[in-house]
Amino acid sequence: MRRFVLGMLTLLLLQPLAWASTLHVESGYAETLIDTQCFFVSALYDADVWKAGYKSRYPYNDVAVAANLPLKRHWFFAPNLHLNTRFRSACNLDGTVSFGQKFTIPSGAFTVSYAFGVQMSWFLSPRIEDQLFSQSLDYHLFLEYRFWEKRIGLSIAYDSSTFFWYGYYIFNPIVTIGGDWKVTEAADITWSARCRNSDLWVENQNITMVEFKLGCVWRLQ
Amino acid sequence: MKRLLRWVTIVVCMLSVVSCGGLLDEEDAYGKASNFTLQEISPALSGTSFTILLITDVHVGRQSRVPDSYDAFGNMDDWVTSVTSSGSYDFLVNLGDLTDDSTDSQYASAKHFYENMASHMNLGSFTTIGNHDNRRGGRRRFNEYLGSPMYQAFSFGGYSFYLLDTSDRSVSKAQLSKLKQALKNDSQPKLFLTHYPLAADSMSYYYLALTDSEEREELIDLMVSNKVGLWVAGHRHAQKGPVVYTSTCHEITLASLNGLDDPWESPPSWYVMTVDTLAKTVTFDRYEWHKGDGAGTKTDSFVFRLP
Repeated sequence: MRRFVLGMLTLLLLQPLAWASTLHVESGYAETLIDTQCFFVSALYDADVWKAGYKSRYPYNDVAVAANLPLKRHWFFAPNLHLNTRFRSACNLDGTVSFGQKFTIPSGAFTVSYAFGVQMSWFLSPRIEDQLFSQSLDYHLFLEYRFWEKRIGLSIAYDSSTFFWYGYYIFNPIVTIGGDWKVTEAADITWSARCRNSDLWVENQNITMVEFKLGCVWRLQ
Repeated sequence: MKRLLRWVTIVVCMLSVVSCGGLLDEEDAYGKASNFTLQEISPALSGTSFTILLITDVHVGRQSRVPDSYDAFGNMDDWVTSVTSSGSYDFLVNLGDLTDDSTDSQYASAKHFYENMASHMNLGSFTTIGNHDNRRGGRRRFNEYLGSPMYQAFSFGGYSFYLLDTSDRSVSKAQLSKLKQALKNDSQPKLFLTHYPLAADSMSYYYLALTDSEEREELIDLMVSNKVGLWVAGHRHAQKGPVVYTSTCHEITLASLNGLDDPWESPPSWYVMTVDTLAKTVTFDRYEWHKGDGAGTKTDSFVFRLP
């Protein structure tokens, strides 16, 4: 039985390689109010309009799928579905849909994008009183500067949700500073640091999540 | 190769630093000075029951922002007469949001109001900090004006009362760690008193309960496994619940003393909580005050069984 499950999982993880154009493998350290110290590893398959990924940060597992569908006049539509599970306990199902615009100047040095939408989060627990269904605004702002023949990019993002979303903190702003270095034509190195606030609108903020990660991106096709 | 080694060293060093970890474990000076060491109240209970006057969300200064809300401080004489005419109390417990915006002038007025109320108590008064009390240096003012730690615990009549700081929509990791340790060493039945509710009973609850569902779940687990009979909260300005976790573990959200007669809030309310140590029950009597009334009117009463 164990072999069968492992085989299925391997197949599930490898199969997207057939369609994906890039593979991201990232590892890092994250801390939330409940975790003490938590190292994680994630794999993310990325094509032109979709991406799918898995992240393990014991005792949590994250599975996410997202799309970014280009529309006319720089507009895009971006739905995202994310499941977070904790062994022998609760899980959280999150979804977002947002519309936004993305602009890049002709030289490719600067990119800016923004999006607004809605987010929904459903905390599923074995105990009926623990259930929590909530919904809120979804918002994103992203700025990137590329230099050194566009090989290195530095970015800052301000989001209410991310791909591997720590979804049970709905609505809380997440600030990310990151970058990537196109080392070869086939591979990049990426890094980022991010934190989340408990409350944006009133001045009693408290950091409720930090995350540092380092990764590689391989262009497959 | 040397360059690669340098990068690997940097990464390993960074990971080692963060793995020493606990980046979110740090508290400010006021949190560090707070603990859950049980304060024994004297004299000891002579009878079999005692009463606590519970108020929440006084919001001194709110009237300048919401003109229809009731100005508890401006009408203090009426309030004190009204509240204290409802009975004799052993303790006063305020569940947070004594001020509306944490300013010095609001804290000065709130202190006057709180101390006047507290002076009518037989044994003592306690307060928790709310999300409106900790803005722009509000934690310092809370500590200086009211002389209160951010969180604390006291024991009376064989029951332990834990006053938690949930003012920034979470129980900090450091506070939770101290709480777990204190619960381990405390075999008495307990009650948690704080500002934010735990329960989620509506679609739009994201702003009205603790933000982290997993933290909520952990707190409920702690309550159920450590003889905690009640989570008593404010913040919503309306009475909600009770939520039943077990037959001896409940949650109740209380209406505010700063009342507003609209569909989202309710008239100015306060509660008299009577703990019966023989029957192992706690009774809440709700009193409401309407403009033009001389004293409050008892409008509701409910009983919970304690562990």
